[in-house]
Amino acid sequence: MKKLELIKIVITVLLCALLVVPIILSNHSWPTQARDYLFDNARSDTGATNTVSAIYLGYRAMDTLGETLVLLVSVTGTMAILVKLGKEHSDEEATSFSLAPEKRPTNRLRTHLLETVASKLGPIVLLFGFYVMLYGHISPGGGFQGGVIVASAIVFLALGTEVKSKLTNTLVLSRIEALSFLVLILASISGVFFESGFFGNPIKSASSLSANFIILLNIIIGLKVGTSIAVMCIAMMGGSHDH
Amino acid sequence: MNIESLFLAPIYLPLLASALLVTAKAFGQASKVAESLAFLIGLMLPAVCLALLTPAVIAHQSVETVIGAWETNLGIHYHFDGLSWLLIALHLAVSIPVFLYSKSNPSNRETFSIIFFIQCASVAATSLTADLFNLFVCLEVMGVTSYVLIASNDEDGSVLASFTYLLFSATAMVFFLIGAFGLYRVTGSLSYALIAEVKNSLSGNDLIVAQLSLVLIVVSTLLRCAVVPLSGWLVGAHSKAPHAVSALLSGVLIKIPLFALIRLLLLVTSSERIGSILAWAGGISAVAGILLALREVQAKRLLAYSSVSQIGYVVAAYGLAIEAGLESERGALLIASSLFYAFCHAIAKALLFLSVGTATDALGTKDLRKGRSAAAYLKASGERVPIITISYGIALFSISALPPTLGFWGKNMLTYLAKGHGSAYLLTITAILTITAYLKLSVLFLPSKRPVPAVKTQSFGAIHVSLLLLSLMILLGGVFALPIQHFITTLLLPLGSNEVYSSGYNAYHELAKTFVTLTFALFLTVLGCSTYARNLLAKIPASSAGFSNLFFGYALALTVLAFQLVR
Amino acid sequence: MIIERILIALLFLSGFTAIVGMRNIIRKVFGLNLLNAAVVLLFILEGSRIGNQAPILDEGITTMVDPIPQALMLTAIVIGVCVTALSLALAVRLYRATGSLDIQVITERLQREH
Repeated sequence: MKKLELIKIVITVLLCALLVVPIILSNHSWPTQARDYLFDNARSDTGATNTVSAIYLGYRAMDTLGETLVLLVSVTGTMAILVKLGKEHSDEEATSFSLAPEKRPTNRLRTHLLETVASKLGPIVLLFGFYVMLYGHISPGGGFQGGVIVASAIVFLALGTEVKSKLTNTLVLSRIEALSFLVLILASISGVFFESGFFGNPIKSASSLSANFIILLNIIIGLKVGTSIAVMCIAMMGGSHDH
Repeated sequence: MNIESLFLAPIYLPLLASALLVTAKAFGQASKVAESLAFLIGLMLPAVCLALLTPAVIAHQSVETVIGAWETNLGIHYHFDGLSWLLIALHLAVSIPVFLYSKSNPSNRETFSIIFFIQCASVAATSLTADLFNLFVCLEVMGVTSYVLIASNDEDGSVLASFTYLLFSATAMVFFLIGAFGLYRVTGSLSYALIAEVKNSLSGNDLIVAQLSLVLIVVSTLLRCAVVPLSGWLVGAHSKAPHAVSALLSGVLIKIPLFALIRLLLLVTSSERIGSILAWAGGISAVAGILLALREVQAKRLLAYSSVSQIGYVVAAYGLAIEAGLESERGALLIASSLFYAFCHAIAKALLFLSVGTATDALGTKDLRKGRSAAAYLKASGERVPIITISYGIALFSISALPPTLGFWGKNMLTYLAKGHGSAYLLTITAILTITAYLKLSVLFLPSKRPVPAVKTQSFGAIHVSLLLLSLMILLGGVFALPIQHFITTLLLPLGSNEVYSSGYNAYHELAKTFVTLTFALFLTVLGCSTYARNLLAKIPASSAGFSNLFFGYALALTVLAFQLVR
Repeated sequence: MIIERILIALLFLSGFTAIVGMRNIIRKVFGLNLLNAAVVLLFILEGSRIGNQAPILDEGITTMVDPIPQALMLTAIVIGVCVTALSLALAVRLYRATGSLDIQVITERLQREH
């Protein structure tokens, strides 16, 4: 039977290669219509100079909403599985990475060096994460990128011991996540009532800061992504059975 | 309330409901209020919106818009018409009873509801989208919600089924991306209309790249519809999932991608060749699925294989419709009968999964060799009126295409319209074997002399309401089948031409055929009780959901379709 | 240059072979990541053929690269990461349930208790 398996695998890979490689190696010139249009109009349509942000938070914002939903669902699913696993093995392994020092036996991997440096780095990385989030419309960056940096900052804070802040409390983090998801949905629906259609910019002509909708979306998405990934990482470190 | 303001409601209303539930879960407050509010906003309001949109779709109005009202081709195009209306109606018809059923299971309630509403929104978005990358994102959202829901009852078997489905589907989605790459490269756009416009005028190497890309996209989408040879994942996933999730998956999620694809296929000129292959694949799927169902001894696995078989009907009619072209009378009637049968199967299969699921829970076993007298067990656990048994009977009649149910009309109309193509013979054979398989399943309800031990009592309120809703749909559908069929045909007409066609088919004229089918099936069932038949059935090899088999089927589907298109 | 695309195709095929052929479920997840990486690189690489400057409309930018593939791949990367996280959680759950990471051993053990 093993030979049959091998033959099946080889045939599968060969057939897929036969069909996919011509597409990859195609020599047709890459279309320039999108680039030319965006070069002329991105700033006036959306107010952003980062054309990539203009696309995924402006013209194709629906895809970004879908991506946020995938993140929400997969984090919910992963957390549900991990929390159940953590409950089964609550004593031996999980506590070696837990956050509260009194539950932790001496562990070679968590040294004083790691804890001190991480807790000092945490706030700096947090600031950098917010910078990337807020400046996403004029320089490379944006909600997702900034959110992931914020998540790693929260993980740093959790690894350190000198800071016992609310930011590493999973309850607070999940509340921020829930509220930012709610605000995201409300922001996207608000366009319906302001005649720019679903996910349209509701304050298009209003204020002087023309990229306001993009900045708002960046902040909301950044908070949502940051807090949900941080909660997942803290759960993987075994901290979720705190509450 | 005009059509432009309402048609996106089935997307954002369930999202709002889900956001409310997430907030309620995070703040730990008032979950019952949140659930009822979410049910109203996420399921009832979209139903109201659909009702308000009915006059507009009957008058063949449709909306083509760019999300966000950008005046450029860079935006995401959405297209609402009768097809979207019907798909969202199909989804609501199954998901409202399923949501009510899920109220009876207290564990995992919050997570289930949140993910359920996100799935509702993604199904609505898939039915409306006219943009290739948005279709990718919507299919991924549908997929991720399915993976999590399948694994949600935390049994080892369901985790493995979810893992297998996840890897298979995620890989196929990467192939979808390569297809999108190819199409964007040669056409310069991601919206269906512009892709088709450019693709239809391509030639030479560019045409080959475009055809191969189309093949990748079509097969990766069809994977979710579980046509043979892409059906290996379905048995594990649908049989191990919680009952409400099985009902939702088998009822809705294997049909939506098929009909969402039709928007792209209609615009592209080479789709007639795809249609012919799909028709044969549907027929083979129908027979293979039911043969594998016959050899099963586990109740939910039998139902899952039967889903593979019944989706073969839908795909066969769909393929024949595309081959004939939707402007012709035959094509328009076939696509309407395909969607009509999708409705019939969705409601019947949801009812079957829910009733058989509850019965096997009460019995404590899913094994057909051991479980007997389910009605008595259900009575012992607190069911005063045997609604579950009656609902099972109604669903059995519907899926066996016996009068006076919805399925009687659906299956007979489909087989009648499919006459003339070889797959019609396969469909007729399948009809006989389907009745035999379901008679085999019904042994769960046979009375037995063994005394019923004491079982845990549970409340059946929510379960009864949901089963009654579904049974009512089957019976009312059976009575009003001709108007419903005409309604569906009218709504789908803008896809092809605008002439009004009516099939004038009366299923009661084929009562004789139904009687003959039933007789054959009873004869086969009696034969099947013998040991000779049992040994013969055991010789049919079980299809294993190993990765090499799954991907071999995928590669086979790609090659066959590519050969047909690039020729 | 065609060599880059050939290398991406090889990356794609090796990821695919890992998913289909490898028995260890963690290696299958690696394969999925390789597949995603190959597609992302393909889109970005080919989109960069038409220009040579980053797609940010600062002063003096004349020919920027195509920003559409970059925006699409942002979405694809996030979806890939989420699916990887979910699959790894499922893999750990399978390991705790059966004690093995080999797909055939897992299938056999689960079928035995079924």
